[in-house]
Amino acid sequence: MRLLKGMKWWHAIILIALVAVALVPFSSQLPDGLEWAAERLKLKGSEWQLLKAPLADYSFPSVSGFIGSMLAVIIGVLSVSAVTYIVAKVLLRRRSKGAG
Amino acid sequence: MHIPDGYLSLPVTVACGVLSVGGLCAAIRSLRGKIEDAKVPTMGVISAFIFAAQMVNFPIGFGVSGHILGGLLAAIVVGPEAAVLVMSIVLIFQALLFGDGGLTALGANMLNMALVGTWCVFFIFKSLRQLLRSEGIAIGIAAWLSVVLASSACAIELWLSGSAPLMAAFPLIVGIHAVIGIGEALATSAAIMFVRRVRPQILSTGD
Repeated sequence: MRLLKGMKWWHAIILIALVAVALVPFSSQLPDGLEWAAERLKLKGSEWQLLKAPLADYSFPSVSGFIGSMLAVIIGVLSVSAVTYIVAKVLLRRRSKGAG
Repeated sequence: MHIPDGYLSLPVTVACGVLSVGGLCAAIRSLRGKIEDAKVPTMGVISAFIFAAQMVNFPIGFGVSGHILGGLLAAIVVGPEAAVLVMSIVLIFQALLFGDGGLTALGANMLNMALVGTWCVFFIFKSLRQLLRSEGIAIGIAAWLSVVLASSACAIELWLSGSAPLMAAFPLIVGIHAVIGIGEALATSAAIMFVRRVRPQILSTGD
């Protein structure tokens, strides 16, 4: 707890990325709630996709297994937090007086 | 609960797109020039956490898995409008990069999870807190409701799309998510307790 209290925000993001990398191999492969219901409702998803996701199913193209999903997870965690940070900082931050 | 491509009709896709973009724009408008410097990194951290948490599915029995939504958690930590933005960014990345939720269903997924399961649920949380005079119980119930209400919206969208009859879709989709929601309630309570212990000053008061 003491260690966590002294944590800087980028430590928290790195910690989250590492924990996610460690947990992803244990993520359940069972259908999720909606997939389970869709099966029973005989819903047909389309094979067609507007866009082929480059890191589909949290894997990395041509890098299989744990290393591939590790790369995908790290890219995901870092890019999501970076974009949120930049949007908050550039668009929404309260300007201090004189800074325009 | 991420809807894939092909489940929704064109009118429902467009309507959900308009509502979710409208909601996101309203949130951004109300946040403009109001985010304090100290809150910027908190938003970065919570978005990383929610993205990571949504990636890890846990089995709930019945041969089904679920994952944390995190909408109420985000709203309590950074405030409801900032949480709409955070959840929307997570959902946009999931659809664009990871194929988690169809790109054509992105509007519906944002409506269900970033608006209904986050923004609406935050106000339910506030009312419950006042009514029950217990923040802990209010967090648990509202977190459970976030999953139940988001999945209800999903069932209604499938019905409006003509993909499934409401009487069949609603009990199946909402029923299974009522079980997944127990995990949401436990995880949200634990996460708030953790934040209160490590960084009590960042919790938005919710007023």
